[in-house]
Amino acid sequence: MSLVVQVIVTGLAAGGVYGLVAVGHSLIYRLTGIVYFAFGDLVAFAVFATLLVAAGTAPVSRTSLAPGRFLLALAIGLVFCSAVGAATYVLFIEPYLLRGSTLGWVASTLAIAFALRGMIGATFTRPAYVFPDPIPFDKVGRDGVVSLAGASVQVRSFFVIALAALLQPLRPGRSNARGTAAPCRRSPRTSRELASSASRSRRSSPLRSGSSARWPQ
Amino acid sequence: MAAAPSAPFSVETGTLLGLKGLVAAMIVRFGSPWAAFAAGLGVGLAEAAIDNLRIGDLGLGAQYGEILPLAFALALIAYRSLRAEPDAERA
Repeated sequence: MSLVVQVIVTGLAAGGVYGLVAVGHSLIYRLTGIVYFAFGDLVAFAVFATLLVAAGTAPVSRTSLAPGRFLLALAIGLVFCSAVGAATYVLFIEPYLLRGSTLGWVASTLAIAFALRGMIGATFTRPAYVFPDPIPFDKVGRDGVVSLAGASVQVRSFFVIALAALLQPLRPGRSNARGTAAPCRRSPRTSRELASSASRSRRSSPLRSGSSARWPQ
Repeated sequence: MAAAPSAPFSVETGTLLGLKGLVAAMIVRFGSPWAAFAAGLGVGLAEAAIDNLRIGDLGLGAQYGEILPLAFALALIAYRSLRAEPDAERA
């Protein structure tokens, strides 16, 4: 019984994070029609950008950071991550989409992944880094571990599950009243369709024409 | 950001996260965010079960926890493509 509880709690904690990444993949696909293979590396980039702002490249302990500084670093990391994601899409992926080259955008996303990994590896030279933890979970239970139905479970696991559950409804494109997804835009079936729809969008772009027309939903 | 403090984080951690998230999204065919999230929970639970559960002396171990969910996703994709092929021929 205790093993089952342990499997469920650790599985939900890991699965919550995988779920959030899966939501990201799903949204990117539904919005752009591509599979962004560099997404995991972009997540790692956000984590390491936060670490860089918070504590530099030197080793840190879990508790050596003030919460205020961590929050600032978190905000800067998120902004960096969003900017890099948007810039890589506009500069390296969209040109291939407009030409209808599937091979082009697949290669681009893989190249972005390798580039991000290279950048992180060049800056952070150790094999692995401990990420500072602003919430003192080690003060709860026995060094951050509690007993639940005979199983030893990390308190952090509950935090991750709760955070994942809280973040999930905040995502755009959430379920409609029928319980099905409300896509922002229909996913194009082929690259050719995507290219033609993108060129149509550009021709009727409100930014280009100066009109008050809305973007197609 | 949520999970990083729980264990040492490396570049490969991010890549693996992306891969497992992609597997979860592919399982639900990049469907609704709720379905993708549920699939992610399923992948996490499967991984934890493979890591920890033992039947008698028989246990797979942590190294299979990484491989088996990905292998399952590959098998599912192959099955779907094989099933979709006759439909496309009929059309």
